[in-house]
Amino acid sequence: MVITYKCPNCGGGLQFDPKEQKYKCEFCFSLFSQEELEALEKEQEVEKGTGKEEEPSQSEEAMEEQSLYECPSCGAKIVTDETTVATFCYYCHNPVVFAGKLHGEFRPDEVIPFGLDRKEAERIFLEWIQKKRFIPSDFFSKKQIEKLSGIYFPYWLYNCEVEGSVQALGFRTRVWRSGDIQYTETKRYEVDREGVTKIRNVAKNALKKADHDLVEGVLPYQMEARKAFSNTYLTGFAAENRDMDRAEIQSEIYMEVENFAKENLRAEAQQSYERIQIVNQSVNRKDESWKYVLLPVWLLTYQDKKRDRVYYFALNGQTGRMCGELPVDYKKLSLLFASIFVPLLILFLIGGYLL
Amino acid sequence: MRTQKRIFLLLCFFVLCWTGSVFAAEEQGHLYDYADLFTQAEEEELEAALQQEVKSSGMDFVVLTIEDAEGKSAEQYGEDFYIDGNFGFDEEYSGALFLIDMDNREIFYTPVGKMNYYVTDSRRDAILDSAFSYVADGAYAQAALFAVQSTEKYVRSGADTSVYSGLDASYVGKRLTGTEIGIAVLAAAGIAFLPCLGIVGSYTKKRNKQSTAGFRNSYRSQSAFLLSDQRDVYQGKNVTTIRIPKAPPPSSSGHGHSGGYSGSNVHSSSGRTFNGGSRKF
Repeated sequence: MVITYKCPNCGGGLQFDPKEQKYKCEFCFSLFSQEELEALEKEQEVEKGTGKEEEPSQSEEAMEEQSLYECPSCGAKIVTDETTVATFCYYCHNPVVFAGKLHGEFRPDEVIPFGLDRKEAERIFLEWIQKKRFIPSDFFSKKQIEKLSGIYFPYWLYNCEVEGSVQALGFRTRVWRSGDIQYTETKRYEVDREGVTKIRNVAKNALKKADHDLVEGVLPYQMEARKAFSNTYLTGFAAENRDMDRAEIQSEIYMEVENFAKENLRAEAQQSYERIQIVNQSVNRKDESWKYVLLPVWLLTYQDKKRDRVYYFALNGQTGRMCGELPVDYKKLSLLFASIFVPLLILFLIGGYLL
Repeated sequence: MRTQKRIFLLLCFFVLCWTGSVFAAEEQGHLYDYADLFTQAEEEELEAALQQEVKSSGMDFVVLTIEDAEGKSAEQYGEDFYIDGNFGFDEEYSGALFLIDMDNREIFYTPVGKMNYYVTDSRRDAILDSAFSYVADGAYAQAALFAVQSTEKYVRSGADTSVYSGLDASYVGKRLTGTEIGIAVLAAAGIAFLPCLGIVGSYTKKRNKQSTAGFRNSYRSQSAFLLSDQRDVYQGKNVTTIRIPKAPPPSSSGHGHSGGYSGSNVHSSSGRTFNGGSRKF
């Protein structure tokens, strides 16, 4: 089922506007709140296109990765990856949501809607890159920024409580002198600590093809802004479904939270002693809950023709935190090096001469 | 009135010149060519060298040539001349004297006072040997020039610590050794390198660290730890002892020079310390 949400006033495609946190019509600029849109959905007929999965005349491999859908506005065939759940029609540029893919276990529990719109994201990016003084001057062209795209990435969100206990030996020492004898007194204690670590909102990337470093580099998000999921939030943006199941990432997450709990216990035991020796530690996870969420990321894929490399930049769609790799202009860097090295050298030589 | 003013100004001018020259004379060293061995040009050259030496070392220098030693030895004459002339700027009358005695046909060189730290026996002998070879060829001005310039060189390279140990830092040479230069280069390079590393790091690899940090902080800032039970049971103590021997008394190693020179000529005369040597030519 492919959906485009239509404006009741003019029939244009509705998109979620991060600035207003409402739905805006591209053509007549009418604004609708979440509740109004949901009411509309129920009352009027939403134009539904047919979700035919046509088999393209390509190899079997390609078939697995791509699916063909029909745009509900213009009828064009939209080609996407298996995991894509929202995108724009290539021809008529109307936003489309593949509601069919967002059913059952693939329906996200929650979503953090985009808080920064495209203009804002562009501004943040430009500001960030202009502060970087050691990139080659021909690296960045403003035109490329048009390729900035807002994407909802899938994450697994994990909560639990970790009960744990630690047994250790604690040592306290005291040193004093009497005459020409130095006394060292070491007191030994049996130390027991028990406690609970409440783990909240461990967010782990759930899309294999996503650049793991990038999408986790823009963390953290303000998790309080989570909203119950509705397809409508995706309009105007691209979105990806997960392809990594809980089983694939849970061992990593379990280790992470268990280590955190152990660290807390150890630190607690260490507190009143100069030195401790761990005898035994045990942790136990309970009250686990898993949520599947979509989090907003502004992504820029930058093709540097000169260096024949692709650079990726990610911007947290809610907080604006940036993450990305940049090329270094070594000429400018060596200028910096020389400008520090030479005066320092002269200073040291003079100092050495005078001393 | 105008002429009076002019005369007054002229007088001021001359007074200044005169006082200026007095001060200047102190810092120029002293050249006494009684034996008339030097040409005008050579004298000028020597005076320039003397000025340079005195300025650089901060100590006096006397170049003396005589025809008549008045019955004294070259050493005797030289020392008496230095004492009578009240040469040397400080309380030890520090400086040096170089004498070409045409009567005894002897050249004599002595460091005085603090100059002894810089020109020790071996250095003094080196000066005398080279000066001697000039004088043997009749190049008297060259000999004197050499004595002056060598002295300056020795002062610049610092006190001879193989003979005089325990001198304070002001005596040690002002020249930069190769290792010192090397250290300066390395230190400056190291410090200059740090911000460059920082920049390269933030542009490239930081992504990985940033992603782990972001991931960790994201849940840790929202998570919490609650202690539910604690128990500390005292098990016992043990005491170890170490005997610390009393610190040995501070060694009464003397300040100033330790001995170790024999065959040397260090002696005091009228409050000045001389260590002169001579060569007959």
